[in-house]
Amino acid sequence: MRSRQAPSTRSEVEARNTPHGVDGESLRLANQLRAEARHLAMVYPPNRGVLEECHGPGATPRSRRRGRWSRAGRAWWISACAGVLLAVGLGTHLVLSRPDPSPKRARTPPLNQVPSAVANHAEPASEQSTVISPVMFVSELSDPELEAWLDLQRDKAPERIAF
Amino acid sequence: MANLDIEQVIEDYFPRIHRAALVMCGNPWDADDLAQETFLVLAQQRGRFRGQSQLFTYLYGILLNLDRRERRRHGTRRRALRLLQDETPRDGAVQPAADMAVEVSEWKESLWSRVAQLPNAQRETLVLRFSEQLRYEEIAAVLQCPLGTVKSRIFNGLQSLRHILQSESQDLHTAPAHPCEDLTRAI
Repeated sequence: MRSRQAPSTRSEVEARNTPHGVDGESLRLANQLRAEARHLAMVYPPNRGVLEECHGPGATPRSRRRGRWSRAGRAWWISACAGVLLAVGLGTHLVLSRPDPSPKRARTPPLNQVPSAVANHAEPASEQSTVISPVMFVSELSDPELEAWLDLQRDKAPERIAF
Repeated sequence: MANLDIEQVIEDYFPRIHRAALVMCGNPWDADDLAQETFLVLAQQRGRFRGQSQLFTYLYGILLNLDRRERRRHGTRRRALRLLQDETPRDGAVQPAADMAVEVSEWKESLWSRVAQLPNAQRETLVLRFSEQLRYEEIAAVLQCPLGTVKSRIFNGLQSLRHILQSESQDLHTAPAHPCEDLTRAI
C-alpha cells in the first residue's frame, strides 16, 4: 500500500495539487495558459523605464527621490504655498484699499487776488483745515458775516489780527 | 524590515511581476506601467513590510491592489465613453494605431484574453497559479483566503473558461460575419 505522505513522481505531485473534479479538458486549458504566459513574457520583455531612472545604476539622488513624496511633506508644501499666496493677496488688498495719506487740498487762490487782511490772516499750513480753506471760506462771506468772523478770530487770537 | 535593498528586489522580482502584469493587462505598455508602479509603491512603503510573509507574496498583493484600482478607473471611464458614444454618430469612430494591430490580434487570440473576462477573484487566482506557478498555500497567502477557496476558484475559473470558449465557437458558427471583422483571426 502506497503512502500518501511521500509522492514520488511529478504526476503524483501534480495530482495532489490539482483540485478535485478537474478533467482532461481543464488540464489542457491549464497547460495552454502556462505556455501562453511564457510566450507572452518572452515576446514582450519587461521595460523598466522609470525604475531604471529612479533605482537603476545611473540613478541620481534627485531621481531617487522621485515619487517619494510623503503625505506630511506634501501637506507642508501645499500649506506653505497657500500661506504665501494668502499673504501676497492680503497685502495687495490692504495697499490698494488704503486711504490716500495726502488728500487734495482746496486750492488757495494767489495772494494778489485775496484781500490783504485775509491774506495776512491765513494760518500756517499745518493749522489749516484739510477740507475747507479759510481763505476760500472768507472770500465767500458777505460783509456782515465777514465782520462777525473777524470778531470771532480777534477774540481767539487778537495778536494775529493786524487791523 | 526598513532596510530593503530596492535595487536588488527589482533585479530579483521584476520579471515575475511584469509577467503577471502582462497576462492581467493584455498589453505590454500597461504591464510596464503596472509593474513599475508596484515597485514604486514598495519603495514608498518599504517600512510597512515587516518580513512576516515572503517578499514576492507582498509584491503580488501590491500588484493585485493596483490592478483592481486600475480596473475600477477603467470601468468608470468606459461607462462614460459609452454614454458619449450613444450621443455621437459612429461615422467618426477612432481607429487603433497601425502598430498596435499585431499586439491586439495576438492578445485576442490568447487564452488569457478570455481569463480577463472572468470575475476578479477567479482571474487573479488563475494568474497566480498558471502564470506565476505559485503553490496553493502561496496563493492563499497572497489573496488572504482559505486554501479550499483557492482550489474552488481555480476549478470554477477553468469551468468558466471552458464555457466562454464553447460559446465563442458556437457564436462563430451561427453569427453572420461582420464586414469589418477578420474571422480568420477570431476563435
